[in-house]
Amino acid sequence: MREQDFKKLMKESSVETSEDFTDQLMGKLEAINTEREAKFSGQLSLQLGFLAALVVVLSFCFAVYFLEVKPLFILAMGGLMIALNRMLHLKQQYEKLKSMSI
Amino acid sequence: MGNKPLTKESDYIQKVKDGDIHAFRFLVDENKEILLSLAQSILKEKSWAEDVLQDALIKVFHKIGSFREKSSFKTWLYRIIINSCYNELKKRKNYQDLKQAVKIFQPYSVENKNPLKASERKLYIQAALDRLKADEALLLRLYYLCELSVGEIAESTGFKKAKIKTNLYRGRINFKKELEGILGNEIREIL
Repeated sequence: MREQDFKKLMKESSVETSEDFTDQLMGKLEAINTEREAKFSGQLSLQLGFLAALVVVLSFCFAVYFLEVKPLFILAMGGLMIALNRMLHLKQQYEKLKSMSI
Repeated sequence: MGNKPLTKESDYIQKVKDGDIHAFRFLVDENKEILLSLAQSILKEKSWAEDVLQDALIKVFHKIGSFREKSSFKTWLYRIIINSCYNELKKRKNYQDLKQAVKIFQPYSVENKNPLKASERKLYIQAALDRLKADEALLLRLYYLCELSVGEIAESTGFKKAKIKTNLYRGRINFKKELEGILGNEIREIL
């Protein structure tokens, strides 16, 4: 058997997939992504809830000190939100969640 | 202004990296038959090979972000599929039973004077390949069907170049022997 014969025979050896192969795969992929999305969005809501509660509690505790200078209070709370957002990587998680959705 | 149509494989890969499942469908449709042939070379059972291939492709979708365009996409893709198949093979204990099952195959009847149909030819070729060792069948398909060089095969399989050359040599001899076993003198029919 020559080299060309092997080549010719191997070209004929490719195995055909079942008709619904790709649809089945996409179905599985969609199911996995939905599951992951639910998990991530749950985590994300929990962290956002925690963040909001923390800001509310801190506002109540320290509002009296800032009554005279309201802009400073708003600035302090804004800064706190940004710092916590960075710490908890919320933005990255949101991007990941967005890229996974179909 | 409408979206520019995607033309290159790298465009589709970038789309998949961005989470586009439709671009992934295109990549799957383009490669599924070759990938299933590779899986079949190792696992020898079509339905099992299809299941393992689907799971491996899901892995590909989630891992594609880690694919750097330094190497070829095909080599990277084949490597994931091949590794998944070998891992599954290790898990299945009754592999020997499977090999025995493959051996039972109706050989071509010498009395049959009708020329072989394309579908029959395919069946006999696949049967001969299924009788080979996993490594040999896989390397024959990578070399002749996927048209990879020995270097690219080494990258896809993790085998050493010397092992690839030896197994390709043995694979060619054994494939011919198996095909002769099935077709007898009628082997000329399919050449």
